Amino acid sequence: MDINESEGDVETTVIEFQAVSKWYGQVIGVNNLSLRIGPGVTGLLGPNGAGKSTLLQLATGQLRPSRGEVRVFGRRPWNNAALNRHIGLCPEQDAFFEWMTGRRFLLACASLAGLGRRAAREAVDRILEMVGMTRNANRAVRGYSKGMRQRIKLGQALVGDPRVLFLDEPLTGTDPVARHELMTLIGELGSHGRTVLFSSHVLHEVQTLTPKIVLMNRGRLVAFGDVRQIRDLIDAHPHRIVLKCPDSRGLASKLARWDDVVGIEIPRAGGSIVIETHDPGQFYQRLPRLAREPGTLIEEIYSDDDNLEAVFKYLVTS
Amino acid sequence: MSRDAAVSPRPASPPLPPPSFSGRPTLSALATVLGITASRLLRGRRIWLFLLLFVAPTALLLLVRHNDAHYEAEEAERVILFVLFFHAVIPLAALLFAASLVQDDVEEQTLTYFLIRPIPRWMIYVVKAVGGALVASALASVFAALAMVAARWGEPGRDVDWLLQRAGIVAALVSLGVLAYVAIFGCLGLLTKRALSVGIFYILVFEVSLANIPFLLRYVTIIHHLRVLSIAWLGLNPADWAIDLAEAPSPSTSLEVLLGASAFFIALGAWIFSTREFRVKTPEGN
Repeated sequence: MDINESEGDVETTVIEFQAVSKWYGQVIGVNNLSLRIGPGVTGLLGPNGAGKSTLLQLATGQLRPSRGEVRVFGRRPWNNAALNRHIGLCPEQDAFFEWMTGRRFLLACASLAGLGRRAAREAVDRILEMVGMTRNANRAVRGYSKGMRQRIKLGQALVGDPRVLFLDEPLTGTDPVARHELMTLIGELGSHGRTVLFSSHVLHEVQTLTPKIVLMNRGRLVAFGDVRQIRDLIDAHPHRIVLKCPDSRGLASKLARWDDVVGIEIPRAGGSIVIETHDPGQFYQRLPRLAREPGTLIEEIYSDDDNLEAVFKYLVTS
Repeated sequence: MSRDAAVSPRPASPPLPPPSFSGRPTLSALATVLGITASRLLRGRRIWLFLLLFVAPTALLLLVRHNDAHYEAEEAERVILFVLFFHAVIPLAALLFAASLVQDDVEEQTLTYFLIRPIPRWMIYVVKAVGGALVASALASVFAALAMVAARWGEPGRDVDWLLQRAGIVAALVSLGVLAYVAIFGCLGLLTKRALSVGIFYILVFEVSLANIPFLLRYVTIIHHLRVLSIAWLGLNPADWAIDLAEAPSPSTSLEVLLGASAFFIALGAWIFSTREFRVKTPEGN
């Protein structure tokens, strides 16, 4: 499914893409994408190569759209130094001024963000505490573990106290403790009125942080909204319903006669079947009658589409 | 969403007031760009190559001076300073620093940290170019002055004051040359990834060959104007470079050309930098 326009609330829109395309020569990075994002945390989901980083680079003014318009706070981000005062970016690339210590790196970023010497020092102390790096602040960045580097990288995005945060895979390489701490921090930033666009290809990271998600694939916006809205979007397409049963072949042969069942899959592991239907309402209505028939034992039923992973896979592969 | 995982949206706080978009980049921000640029230039293998470029000829000169019974200080200075340094070492050293001013940040993917800050792009480039020129000219002028002193130290009839004054003029000439070359090669570094090879080609064809041909084209070379200034300020012999003083530009014109060319190429580089996209290739490889 391709839904290339997503209308958010115009009044609270902070980030806006209007029919934006971005080409790299013959390769398309973002394809005719329209999107409005307001305050709070929004998850940007998509497989590798979906165009998530291109989208973030467009929104932070590092790239210029080939077509269409990008606006943040109503302003074009390309080459817009004044806007950058309100933007923080945690880039995906694992790059630093390696010779610096973590503290020196943050101080440099705070100065670049326009903070004076004292304000920079205070901000850095606060940020080091926030990202849990106070103890390791005076070690050289090149000696940091991947998790520490991610924490410092997130810290540099926060150091100018930005209103909008773009976080490109900020949890990559972090251990479970760091992951939990950083996710709590990101969630708090969103709940304090900041706009956070957070890219990931790990679904459970996003779904525990926010119900608002943007799905991208091959440069296109596949879907936008919360999980329920996305579920609504795919109502026109077959729902996948899993039925756990000891006699999967017998059940499959009975269901194959139903008009609304458009596909049946028997997993190799056995013990269940997966059916596809265009009319889940009717299917669920008829199912109890079938379950009461002799020799038809159905142990468990659940919609595969309730799982965000399944929704995601479904949307990006359809 | 997994069947048992519930999304728990956090309570939203009242929206923040609209942001203001006023303010200029602070001096500390520009000083940080300068500091990071200088730190990067003074690290790694580049600085050792730079030192080798300057120290090796001087060491050779000292060796010759020590072993040559018929050592001539003026001729040694001419060869080491006005042939070797001016033709090769100074443009190469400037190329070494300037070509990587932006390329290093692009290759190491650290340019993002500058581009996402409230500093106009053109200003980032100007500060980087000035930083590159400052570092390169400070080092080059010190080593060139030392080379001059090594050549002429102990010459009969020359006192320390004369040496210091001459060293100062040499340092000024070298700084002017480095500034102009950094400005040119900085632009080159923005235009091609092969800035080093293109730069060496430019030095050989333009600066060395054209400047030696007594024709109008020599006026567009940096080395010609450095020679004119060297003749005027250090009393060198114009015949050594086939320069006719009656036709050559005046020293003030040459000075203006060098400073004007530096300003022009830095401005051109700033324009290229502010209009060019620097795409960061992510591990995604999108």
